[in-house]
Amino acid sequence: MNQPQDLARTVLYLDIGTVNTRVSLFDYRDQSYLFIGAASAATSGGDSNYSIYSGVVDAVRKLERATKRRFLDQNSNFVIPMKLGITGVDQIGFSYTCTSDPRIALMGLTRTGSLQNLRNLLANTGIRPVVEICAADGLDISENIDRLLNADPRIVILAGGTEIGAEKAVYRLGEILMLACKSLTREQRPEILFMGSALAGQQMERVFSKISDFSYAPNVLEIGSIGHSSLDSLLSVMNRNAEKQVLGLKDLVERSKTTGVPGEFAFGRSVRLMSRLIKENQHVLGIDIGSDHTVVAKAKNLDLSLEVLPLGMGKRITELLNNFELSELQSWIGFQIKESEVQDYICNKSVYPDLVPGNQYSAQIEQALTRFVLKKCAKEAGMNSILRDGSLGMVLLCGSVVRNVEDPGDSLLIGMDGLHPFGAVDYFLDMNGLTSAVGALAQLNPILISHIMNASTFLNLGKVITPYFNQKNSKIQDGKKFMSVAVRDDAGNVRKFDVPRGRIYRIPLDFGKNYELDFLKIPKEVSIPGVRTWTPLGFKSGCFGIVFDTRGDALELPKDRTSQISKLKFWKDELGPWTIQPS
Amino acid sequence: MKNSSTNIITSGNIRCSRLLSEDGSVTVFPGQAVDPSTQIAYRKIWRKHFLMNVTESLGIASDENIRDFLTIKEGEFVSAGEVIAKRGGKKNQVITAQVSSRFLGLSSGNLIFETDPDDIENVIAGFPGVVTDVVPSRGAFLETIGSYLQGKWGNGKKGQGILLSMDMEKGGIFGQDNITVDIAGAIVFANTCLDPDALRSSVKMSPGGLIFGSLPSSMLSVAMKMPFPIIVTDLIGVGRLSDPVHMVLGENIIRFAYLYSYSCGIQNKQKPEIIIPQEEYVPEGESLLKKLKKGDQIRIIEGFHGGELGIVVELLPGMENDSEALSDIDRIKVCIDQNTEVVLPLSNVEMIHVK
Repeated sequence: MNQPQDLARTVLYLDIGTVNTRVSLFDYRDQSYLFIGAASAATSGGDSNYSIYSGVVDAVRKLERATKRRFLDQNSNFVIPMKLGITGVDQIGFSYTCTSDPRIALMGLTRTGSLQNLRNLLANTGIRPVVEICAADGLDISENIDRLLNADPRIVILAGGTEIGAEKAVYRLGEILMLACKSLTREQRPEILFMGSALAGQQMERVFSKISDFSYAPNVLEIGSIGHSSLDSLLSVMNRNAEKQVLGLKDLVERSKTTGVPGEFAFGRSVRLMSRLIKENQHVLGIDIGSDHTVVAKAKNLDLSLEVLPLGMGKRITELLNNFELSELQSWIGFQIKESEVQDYICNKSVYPDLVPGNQYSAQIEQALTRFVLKKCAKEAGMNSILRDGSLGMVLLCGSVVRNVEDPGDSLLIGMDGLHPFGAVDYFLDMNGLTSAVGALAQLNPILISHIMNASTFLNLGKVITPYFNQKNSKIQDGKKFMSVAVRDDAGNVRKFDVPRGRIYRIPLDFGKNYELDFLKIPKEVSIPGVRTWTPLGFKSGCFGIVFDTRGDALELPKDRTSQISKLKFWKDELGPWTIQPS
Repeated sequence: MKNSSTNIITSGNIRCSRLLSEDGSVTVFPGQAVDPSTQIAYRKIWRKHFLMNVTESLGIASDENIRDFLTIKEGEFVSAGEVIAKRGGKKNQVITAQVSSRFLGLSSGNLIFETDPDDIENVIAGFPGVVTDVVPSRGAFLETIGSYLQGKWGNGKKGQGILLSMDMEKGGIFGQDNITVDIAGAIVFANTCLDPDALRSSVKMSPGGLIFGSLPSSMLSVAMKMPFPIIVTDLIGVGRLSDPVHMVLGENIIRFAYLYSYSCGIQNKQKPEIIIPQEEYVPEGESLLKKLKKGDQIRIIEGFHGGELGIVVELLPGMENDSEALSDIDRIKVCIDQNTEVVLPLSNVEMIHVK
């Protein structure tokens, strides 16, 4: 076991997003790592003329002012290792999402063999290949060159065959790639990662090292897609590619003496880790709503499914309007506003992605949009079954649009309205932007991760119980008694509650304490997927206690604007203010 | 990413970047004078590839090397009808190209050709200036002297024309009444436009471009479809030209202005630009000597360097250099590459002016 003196005393984590660069500080104090604080600055490098390192320096300088410590010297270099107790940093980790799609093409011999392994490997990063070239498809060489070139890949991963065979077939694939490279100018040629046999690798390197950037990783068919060496090789190639695309990223690597990881990968790894910490066979759903894209990570028993969707609250925000009517969006805004004003705000936001809602009106527009982002995510990422069958145990909401809210209740309502999962779901909010930190630092400093995962890294908003029933078939009217429950605290005190239909019914409880919930009476037509209603349900109270969402299977707002506004206000009032502060 | 300032230069040195979003080929070099249409950098792919089997056509045996029968080399362009392979002797046979294409290489006895070149990204200068810095594989920085404005939103088009103003005393709202022959070929600025039909109708007059202080978001989709450039300087919504913008535009009425906005992809992080060079850009004139200046790009018409491109490094008017044998002829000194400079009669070169 590591002795404390071997541990990094101060760790910085940098998250370089499309709009913001965020730096978080962790200290080792009293036998444990603690999250000390974080600071953000605008990500620099907007038009390729400036280095992103300047945004990093801005964020770190802010943190220095806040903590009255020094991490950078006068030349803006990190002081590594720490000196005199208050200057410098021992360890730095970073992740980045400021790059565009690396456009990875896959080439393999069979769809179910090498290509499947490559696909699985790529799934760790949430990237979908732009094209798959399969030797078994039987296309002639010119057709395969067309497909490869028209996809305009920046990275090509080629694999096929075991260690003792299929070299000739691999060379035929190599020929396609070689001719495609020859068709392009040197600058446009993709970086090549070969994951085939060692013998073929030598031949491929001999040919391709003269043509383009070439690297070789162990045979993916032999070691499988979950092998660390395969993943490390893929991340190395992606990092190199990102360094070419983003001015200053290479500089950051050199000055911080570390290598970063793609933010999507870090986020996925973090959610995967969380799936180990919740009840077995339940899904954790992490959604990180960014400026350019949204990362959706589902994990169950360490089995991760990661999707990077082109939905964002920045430059891409106008694209959201292609998915729904403006009037639908308007109906989720709790004040009188013209459609044209909503559209103007969205267009201005697309031009200035770093725009922060300056008042509650613009905040409500963004929150309404976020609900639609979540709805679209649910559809695109194929989450329909886990939202309905009760296998979803935890939702983690991330991103500045849910973090920078006046009241965490707004974030909870966004999650409840946008996803509307049935069953019993714990909602968590990443108040400090630490989800990716967990994933990015997991390999660098596992002890830090174990310590901060034990503490309350994320804000527990509360458990939300959403029963499933058909509004039209239910005999009970809205507002009338729907089901009866009892809540028992640690001391054995029991309180009974009648939960009405068609409401958001909150039972305020002490934050962070353990409780048990008994279902006393539930109508026959009502089910709570994933919940054994005949036994007590244990839970830890969040800052909204426990919440019952009995609005039914379809969330529908009234047709007229005045009723819509009063309905939204009613729901918000029912949830109540964030009065219980976390201990 | 952050783009927190908007630059407005009333008069002074203008420096603009013209960069690709990803690595590609740069076609200019430092010191080169560029026209608005000069290509700075591009990323190109060949969309279509096809095979040609010459083995059977020429009856090439398995022990014969196919390359011995080819009359073209890899990477060479071939025109339709051009001989690409032939066999001498008794079986005198010739194979010609069916379509114009580029010879990519050989695979299993087949010749692979490529056609349909397509610029997936193409960056042009957009205004007359001089290349001051080249960013390898990405593009260049261009400079000129004049007035400069960064806008807020652009429809991804580029254009040029004489700068004209709407009647600001009547509100400066661009409407149907303003669509007259006066706006043909001109860059017109106004406070705003509230009528999508007015925008659509303006196409008939082919304006060089439109500049608005504001434009409601509902109009942006119409503006995107216009074939000429439209730049919004201050607000998406309803408003007017801000005073600094109005001042710069007002001071440059009847001067030549250039509008440049990047296409509206997700990669686009640059603001649209309005460039009004101090020295009016004169389209190609009659006399080559008057027209040429140092830094211009020319093509050598014939001779040893025939077909090559070069840059004018010195103008040598005929009567000013009596000691030379060809003193009555206007000549120029041309730099072809780093090590090659040649003096040529002016009539033996032509100016490259891509439009």
